[in-house]
Amino acid sequence: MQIQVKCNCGEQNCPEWAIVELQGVIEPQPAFQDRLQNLEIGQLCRASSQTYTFTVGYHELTGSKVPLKKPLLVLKKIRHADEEKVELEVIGIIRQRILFKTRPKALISSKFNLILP
Amino acid sequence: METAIDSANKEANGISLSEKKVTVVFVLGGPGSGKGTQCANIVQHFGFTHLSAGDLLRAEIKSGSENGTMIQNMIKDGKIVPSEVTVKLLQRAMQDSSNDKFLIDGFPRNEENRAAFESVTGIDPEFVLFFECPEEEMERRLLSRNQGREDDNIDTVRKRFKVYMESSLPVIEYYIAKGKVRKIEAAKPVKEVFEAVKTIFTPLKEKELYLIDCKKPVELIEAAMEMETEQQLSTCRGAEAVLNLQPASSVSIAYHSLFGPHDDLVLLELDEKLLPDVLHNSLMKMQFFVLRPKHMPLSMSEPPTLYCLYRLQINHCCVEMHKILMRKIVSRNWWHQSSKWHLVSWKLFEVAPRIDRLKMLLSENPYRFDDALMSEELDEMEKNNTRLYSWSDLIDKVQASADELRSGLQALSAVEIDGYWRIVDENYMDGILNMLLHNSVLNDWSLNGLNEAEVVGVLQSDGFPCEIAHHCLQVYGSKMDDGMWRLDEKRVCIHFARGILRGGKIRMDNFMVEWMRKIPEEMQASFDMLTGEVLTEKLGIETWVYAFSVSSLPSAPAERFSMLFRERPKWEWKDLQPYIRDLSVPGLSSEGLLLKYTRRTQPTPDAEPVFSAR
Repeated sequence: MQIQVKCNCGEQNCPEWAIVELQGVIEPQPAFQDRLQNLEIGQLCRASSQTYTFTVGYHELTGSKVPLKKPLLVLKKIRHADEEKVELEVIGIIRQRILFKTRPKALISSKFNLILP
Repeated sequence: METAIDSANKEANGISLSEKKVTVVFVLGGPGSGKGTQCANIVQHFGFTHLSAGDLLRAEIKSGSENGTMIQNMIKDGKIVPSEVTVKLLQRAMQDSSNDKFLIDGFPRNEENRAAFESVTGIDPEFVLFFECPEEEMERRLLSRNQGREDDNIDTVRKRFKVYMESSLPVIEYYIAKGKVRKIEAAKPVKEVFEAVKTIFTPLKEKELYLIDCKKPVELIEAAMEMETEQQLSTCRGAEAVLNLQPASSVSIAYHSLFGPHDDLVLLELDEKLLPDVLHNSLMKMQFFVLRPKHMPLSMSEPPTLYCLYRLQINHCCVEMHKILMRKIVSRNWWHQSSKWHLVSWKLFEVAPRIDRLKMLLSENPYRFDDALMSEELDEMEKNNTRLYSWSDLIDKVQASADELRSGLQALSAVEIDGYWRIVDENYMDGILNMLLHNSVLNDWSLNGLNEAEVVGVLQSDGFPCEIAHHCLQVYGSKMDDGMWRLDEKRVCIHFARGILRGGKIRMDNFMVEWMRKIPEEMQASFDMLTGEVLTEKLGIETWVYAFSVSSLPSAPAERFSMLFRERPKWEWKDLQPYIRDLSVPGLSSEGLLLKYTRRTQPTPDAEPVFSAR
């Protein structure tokens, strides 16, 4: 079986994707189960040059931007309707991830907890 | 987001920031209305860069330039600084920044400013944020703010209000007429004011996220993690917002409008060095294998991990791709869901080409004397039944890239005859070489300057096919710059040594005598030519020699070492080296190879190290 791997953007211009890596499951409230599109999950904030915080509901995660040891390519399978051939097209490359690996901190105060200077 | 801006642009007057599309928001309001405070919040939450005209001017004063002193005097009088000065400072700050969203605070303060800004930069503001605040409130705030500003004392404060009422309000009126003003009631506490600010700025945020399989929890390759892990991916625009997030700013993460399961997307992990090959429209040819783990787990709670192995070629190197299939871990009864395989990601890495298979295929049918005679008589049917392989057959059957296959064929001294690649039988090669040497004596040819056409012609008349004749020259000689061929001494001598040893072990002295006899007169042979081809052993007081060629050994390291240690349990480095120097494993150095497959002992620090099996 032969599969053609295409990249239409050229080596230098591959759009760079981002990965936010979490441990755990994000669950929407049961009322929203069916209407996930466009639903906001949380706020990703870069608190300083090294630390990122991700606030989901009343949980706050702390993490950092880590480069991936080996880059990940995002490939899309294109199946041509008329022929049997399957093609893989490179649509993005991922080199960095924002890794959250600590336990989330519970924000006990009200929902409108603003980060003010 | 960095754009190359010519330095010429910076020097010339009135050139717009044409290369950078910027979003500009003016922040206006009386002194003490809370502009600075709220700007800090906007910067943090919406990723804008705050440019305060006042701060830029104060910085210019501090720098001690001529410009700065002039500015200082004007400020002491509560007057407003000439427009060009301020506009240029702003322009420079916008060009120097890597951001494209700017909050311009405290500018334009009058009609002249406004007109100057528009004509010089050509930028139209996105909107104008106006902090509306009564005078008493502003005065109260100014006198208590203690920022160390020269103009925060009561007299200057009153002067500033007057200027503001006279000059700045018309500007605001102008923008109101254009429908660009967003008013904010600034007399409220900071938090409330910020809520209002947020409402205005929210549509400008980028919040596109492309979520994969949120409903189906997905395990990463590093299955050592016990907790489930989820991955969220973003499209380009959202990705830029995330990757380029500035310190003290934030971005909202949300499900994309197209969120849903995406079976057509695949993640491929690969080495950086394979990236150019894959990206240049490579072709992957795959053979599909599924490797099962040694035992299937008995307990219901533990789903098995299966690897799907793809063997393939990518341009110059041979790679393997492991597709890691994971089960869904949605519910406990995974047996029910066992028929559904969920593709997560692939791993691509380089491996050594499987040249042994090539050797095996070609050895099925080596070219012999009878082939030469029979070639015209074989009809199509018979040709298909005999195991003969053309280049395209080999590319399909052997896991190696085109380059690697070519060098493998060369290493095996294979020749292409009638479209099929063949290894030539040893006896046959012996025959043709002898014929060549015989003729060279007869025709008085020099072995260092053989004429190709002449040689081939003579050999053909002796009954050898033309391709074989050419092949003989290539195997035993090299073509020189002047087009003549020169027989390689080492290769020819090795050939004769192998011929002698084909019968089995021989005593060293007998061997040397025989060898000297057989080689052509013009050539000299020495025993060290035979490293990697023969081994010696001592039986009693005599030394015996026997054939042991590196080319007869398997090319995969594990098998190679086991054969070597089967032959001899212990090897000294000088003996071992010729038998392993052709081994190559991507990612493993020769020291690494030794470490992995051998045990090394060194009786004394100055003695030679000795290697044995692990």
